[in-house]
Amino acid sequence: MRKYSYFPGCSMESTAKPYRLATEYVMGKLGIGLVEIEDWNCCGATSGHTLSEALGLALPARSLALAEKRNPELDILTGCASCYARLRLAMYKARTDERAKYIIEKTIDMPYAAAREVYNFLDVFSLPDVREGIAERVVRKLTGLKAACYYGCLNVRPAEVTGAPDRENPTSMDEIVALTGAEPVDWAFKAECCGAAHQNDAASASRALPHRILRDAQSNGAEAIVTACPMCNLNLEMRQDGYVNRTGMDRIPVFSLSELLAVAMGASAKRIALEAHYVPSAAVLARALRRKDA
Amino acid sequence: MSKIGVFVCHCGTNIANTVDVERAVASARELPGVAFASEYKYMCSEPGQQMIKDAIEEYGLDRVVIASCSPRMHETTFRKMLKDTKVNPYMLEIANIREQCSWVHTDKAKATEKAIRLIRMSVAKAARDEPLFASSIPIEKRALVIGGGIAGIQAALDIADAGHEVALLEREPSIGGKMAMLDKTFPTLDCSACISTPKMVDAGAHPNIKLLTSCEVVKTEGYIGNFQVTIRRNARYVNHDICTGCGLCETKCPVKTDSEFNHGLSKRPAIYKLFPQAVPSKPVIDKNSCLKLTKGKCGVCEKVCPLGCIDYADEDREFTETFGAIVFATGYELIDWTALYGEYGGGRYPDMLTGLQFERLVNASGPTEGHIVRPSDGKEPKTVAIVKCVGSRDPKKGKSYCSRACCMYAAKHAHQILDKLPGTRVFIFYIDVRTPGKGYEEFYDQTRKDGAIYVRGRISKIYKDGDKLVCNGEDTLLGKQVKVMADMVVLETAMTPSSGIEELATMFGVARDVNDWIQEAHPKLRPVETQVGGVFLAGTCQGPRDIPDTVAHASAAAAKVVSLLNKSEMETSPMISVVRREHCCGCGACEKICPYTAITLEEIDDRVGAKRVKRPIASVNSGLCQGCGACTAACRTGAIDLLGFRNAQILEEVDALCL
Amino acid sequence: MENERLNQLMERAGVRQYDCYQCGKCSGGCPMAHVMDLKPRGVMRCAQIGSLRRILESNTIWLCTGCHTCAERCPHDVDIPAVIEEMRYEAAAEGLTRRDSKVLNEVFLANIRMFGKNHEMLLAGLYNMLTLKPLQDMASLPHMYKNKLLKLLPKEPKNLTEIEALVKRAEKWRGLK
Repeated sequence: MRKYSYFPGCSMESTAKPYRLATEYVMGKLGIGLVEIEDWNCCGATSGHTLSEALGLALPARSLALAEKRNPELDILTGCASCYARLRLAMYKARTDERAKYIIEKTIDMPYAAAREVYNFLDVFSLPDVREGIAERVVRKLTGLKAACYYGCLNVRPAEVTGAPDRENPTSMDEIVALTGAEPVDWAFKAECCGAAHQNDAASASRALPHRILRDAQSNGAEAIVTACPMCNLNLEMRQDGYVNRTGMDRIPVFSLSELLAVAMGASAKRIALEAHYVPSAAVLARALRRKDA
Repeated sequence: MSKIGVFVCHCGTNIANTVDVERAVASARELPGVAFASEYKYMCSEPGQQMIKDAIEEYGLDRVVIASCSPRMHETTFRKMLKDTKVNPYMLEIANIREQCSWVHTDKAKATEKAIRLIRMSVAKAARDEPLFASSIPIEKRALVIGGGIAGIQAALDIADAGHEVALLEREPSIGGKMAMLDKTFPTLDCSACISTPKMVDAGAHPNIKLLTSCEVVKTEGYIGNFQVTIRRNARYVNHDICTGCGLCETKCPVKTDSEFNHGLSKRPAIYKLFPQAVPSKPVIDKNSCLKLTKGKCGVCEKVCPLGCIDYADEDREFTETFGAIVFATGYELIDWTALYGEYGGGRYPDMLTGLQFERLVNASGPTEGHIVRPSDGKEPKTVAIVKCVGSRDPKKGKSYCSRACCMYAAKHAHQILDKLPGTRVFIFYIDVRTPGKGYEEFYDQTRKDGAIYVRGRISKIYKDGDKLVCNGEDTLLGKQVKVMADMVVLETAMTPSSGIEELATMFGVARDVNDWIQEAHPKLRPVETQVGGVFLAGTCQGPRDIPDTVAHASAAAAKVVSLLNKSEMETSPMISVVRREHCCGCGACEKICPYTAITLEEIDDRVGAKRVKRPIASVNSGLCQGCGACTAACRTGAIDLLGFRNAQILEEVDALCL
Repeated sequence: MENERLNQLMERAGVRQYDCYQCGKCSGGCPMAHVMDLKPRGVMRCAQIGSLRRILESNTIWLCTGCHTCAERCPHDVDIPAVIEEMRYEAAAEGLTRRDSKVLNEVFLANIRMFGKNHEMLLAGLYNMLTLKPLQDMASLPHMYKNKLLKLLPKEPKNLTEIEALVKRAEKWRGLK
């Protein structure tokens, strides 16, 4: 059985309720053990590294060091792109930059060997045996659901930190989505920044970012956007009032990959609290479930 | 006692700035055997050479050490000079105190010390120099030109016109190369086909030129004047001896596959001529798409052919011919941008074309008969974005070099669009506009005046929005983001060496540069030669260039070939290996290590005590030996010596350095 | 003097400003460039001509989202986000922090010190109060409460004193080589 030290991240504990419930459901079905890192703290995104380099590195490194201390045999897993970026950067810096490692260890007052890897959900769902597991556990097909897979910037960039093979047109999520019978659409904004980092302190300036993502997804025929990050998800949902007003387009449901998989694996809408989405998403999923194979 | 003259060169300031030349001379004077030492600003110049000659006369010198640049640069210059003196041209040593000393060091005291040691080594070696005399070998008066593009055609015609036989080899079924695909050529806008097809026909009809189309080089042996080249003629499945090129077979063939000549913008049958003006003007069968050859069904072409030319049993055939000189004219390909630029859609959008695809589109003999329309829906574009430097000047994703021709053909493409579709908005995204050719700047100027909008900035992303291609970039002159909603995008992509260049270069022992272009012998002074004697370069195999430069380069290569072939024999270097028979044990280590197959074991009669025995010993073919010295290092008994670099000489050098 | 400081900062960022040949691919793809007073290419230009001041006083260093699109596409592999980060620390040390960013950062830090975690609504609420934008994003509040998306307070880490000490120690490193 696969097992990971799990870093939920702050959003997972509040606004991303459906994401959290669906992740628990899917991981349970797949038999992937999530051992929540005891006493984890905020990864620091986004103000941590805005304030100082040391804080930006030490906040994520503390949780990583705790995880490695408690479960030295487990790699670390997170479902949030921002957390992934911060955690993985701390790991990368501790491995490649002696000065950074020194600052990290002095600041967290703990040794941090960076011996374990940091993964996101896409990494794990793409493992050959996990993919097989997903295919086996899809009990109902989301036939023909036109889904735009949105990776966000931080799941793929910067290349040297994430090691993502294709940063302009990633395909790992598309391949997983296709296992459910849904149809990933070909679109151009898979890895463009949604601007979630500045939704507070540069609100009007960063509104254009989610809007152009929503527009490109819809103009390429997407009925829904599938995400791999609670911050992206929230941002893409919350900005739709303005989007509808500005462009006259319809709203488009946005939900996480975990939710899509959970539904395909048999979870009811209620089970994963789909009603908690700001933009209703149950209908588009139900429609796909009713659709017969062409 | 030998009388050595030591001459230290300043090379302007190249050496003198880092090496204390006076001190080097003073120290040389103290060395055993040195009868005279002096320095001069430029030893290779006329007065420099005169100074050496005078010193030889005045002091009765019998050998010479020159401390200067690399022997690669001027060893032949000084050997030639010694021919006018009493000193044998091989009683010369060059101490390389430029490339191996002044250019790579900054500390003058240490560099001077190193220069002094290098001179000391050369003096020690010179003391053991012996006179050597060049012999000569006959030259096969035929040339092989590899590649039938405009460079190969030009080189072949020039050599043939000078009266020598030429084989013009091309792996495609027709000569013509990239130039045959082009529509108009900058800056004069004359029609590419109108000026290149007559040359193709001339090459095909020239009594001294033999066309080897559908052919590839598979092996080569020998050396300058005597290359034995094995060539494979790929099966054509059509007997060209009787085929008249009537074309009936092409019209009846049921297969439709992507036309490589039109870069996928149209289809062609499985039995095809590369293009209507192909030379030879006869079809071949593409074995990968022919139904008869892949599935055993069909056979229509055989049925319709009035002369019975079709031969499905045709096979690849190999043959070996001897040539005195080789010309590489292997050309270029465009970089595969789709694999590199995901931000430009990675090839997902049909209305994004490469420059060569656009050439076919705008060409009257192309898939749309010259109408500029979108491949996706056949509509005329209202807005076109031309993006330069795709893959060029991009060390991270593409190539670090500038592809040289793109600035001009981008301007030409803009001109053609504005000419054929007046009122079209044409945006050209550029980083720099480079127009260093006769009439080039004027052409760029005119294109701008015609209304092409030049935007300084590299496009960051191209994506589809509805039926538009959105180009996001920065107008760096304004410092503002720009977004062009284009109907069509033309990517002017980087030139890269032709596929297969690696194998071919390795076969002939020719070096490639970091970007895989063939390395010329000297970037300024020997631009059409390689380091391998008898192998010459024409056109873009050496680096990106446009047609005028390619043709000039090809004619220059032809001139070099002609001057080689005009001689009936040529001098060979006397610096080759010699075997001392009495020391050779016949182990054959040298035979195995020789890269030129110059050493064989031959049996001799010998005596061991009172018994007569037969035993093998190594024997060097002086025609094949290139003087690399590998055998001398491999020989366990020290039986092989390289003349000019005898083991004893090398050891003298080592002693001079260490003792 | 100013130049020396600039070079020091560039060195710390691990970027040689002369690697940049001003092609503009960075700015062309930057999602925030439309509101930046100095585009990413401009940051590199200023670094080349020694205009440190212009960078430190730009809004660019505060509006960059850190999405790394510029670095990803740069033909010369110039790590512009690393430059922006160094410049941001330098500007902050000079007291040049953009007002809204400063408020957000302070609210964030308070949050971390209180809970060890980031309480999204508390962060947004406090930020809105302090920047006198009480209504920003509050339309979604009823929905959030109805669906129990917001806990009153997040789960606290067990060892808040540890976080407090970490934050204190982190402050020490500012400007460290």
